[in-house]
Amino acid sequence: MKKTIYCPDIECDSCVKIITKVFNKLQGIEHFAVGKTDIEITFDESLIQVDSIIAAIKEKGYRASLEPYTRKKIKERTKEFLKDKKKYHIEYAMVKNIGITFFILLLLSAGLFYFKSLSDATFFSKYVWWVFYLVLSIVTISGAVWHYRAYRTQYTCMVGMMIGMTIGMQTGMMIGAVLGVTNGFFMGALAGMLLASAVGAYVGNCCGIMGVMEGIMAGIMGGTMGAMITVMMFNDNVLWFMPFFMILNIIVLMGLSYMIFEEVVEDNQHIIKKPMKFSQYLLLCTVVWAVLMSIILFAPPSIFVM
Amino acid sequence: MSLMNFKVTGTHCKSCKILIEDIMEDLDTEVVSLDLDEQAQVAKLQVKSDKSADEIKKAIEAEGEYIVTEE
Repeated sequence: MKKTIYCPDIECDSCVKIITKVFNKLQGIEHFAVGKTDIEITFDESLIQVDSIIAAIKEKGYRASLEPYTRKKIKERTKEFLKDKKKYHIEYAMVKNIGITFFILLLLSAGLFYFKSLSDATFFSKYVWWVFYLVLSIVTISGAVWHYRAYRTQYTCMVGMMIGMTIGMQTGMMIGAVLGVTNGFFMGALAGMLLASAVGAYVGNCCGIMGVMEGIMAGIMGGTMGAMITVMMFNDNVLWFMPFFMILNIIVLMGLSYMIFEEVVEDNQHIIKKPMKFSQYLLLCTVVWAVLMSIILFAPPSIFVM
Repeated sequence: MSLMNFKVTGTHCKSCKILIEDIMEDLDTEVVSLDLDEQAQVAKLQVKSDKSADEIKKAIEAEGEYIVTEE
């Protein structure tokens, strides 16, 4: 009889050898091939039952089943997320970090607006939305990076490329769009592209060169395109466009954190949770905010805010 | 029965530990302790066995890219 046993925990040569040893000790197994996530096995039903084969694999600490391991539906996951605060404590911490940092950066920005308004009465009305979007972009992107860095484990190339691609692209899109409005195409594209490529390469590094390249390419594309979108909309309703643009970008970032949990964290016994301290995260966000704010303030302004 | 200590390098995960335990079982050798340092990829193994140190060393090395030294 031929069966496929799903075994998602096979990670290395040692795992394959352990399973091979298990099968060699069992009677009635005629042929088997150990793959990455499943085992094709042919056995003599009169000598052994499939249940005892599965039990023998499980005894060595691996999950094994005749059914493939399926992902949870979004609805089920959301329900579990709202109920089980302990399992999702990293995710809850991420939301909290983002919230507090968002509030602190808005306060800092408010202080800045107060001082700038003393000398320039139109400063507030020209910049208020853009500084708000800048702060929103910084906290959501860095929140997604914080969440991903909180888990240390092996990433497959597919997941790593997705991480590099998504974070690189969203960083470019969001920062590029804001700086495009305040400082024009040149500055927006340049700053967005450089920052996004660096961030993309940093996060993509989890799966080696593939992820790094994906991150840099996404950074180039997102940074230049983000700036292009807003600059081309100067004479159109850019202010009405931005909320939709930002909400979609943030949904993508949320989707990435969801994906990381689904693909990497769930049921992973080898994962190490090592989240960055809140104080470090806050400091990092503040430094990024200060650098980008100084570009907005000191680099030549665009015709939109002149 | 004599007590022997080995250093096994090239052990990178928990599966390697299970594998070494399995090999010892096949040799009718009692594992007294097996401490694995995943980061350094080194395991310290203490066994009680009738087999010679050389036999144990060969059995582990035959299973993969491990280097065994007696201590």
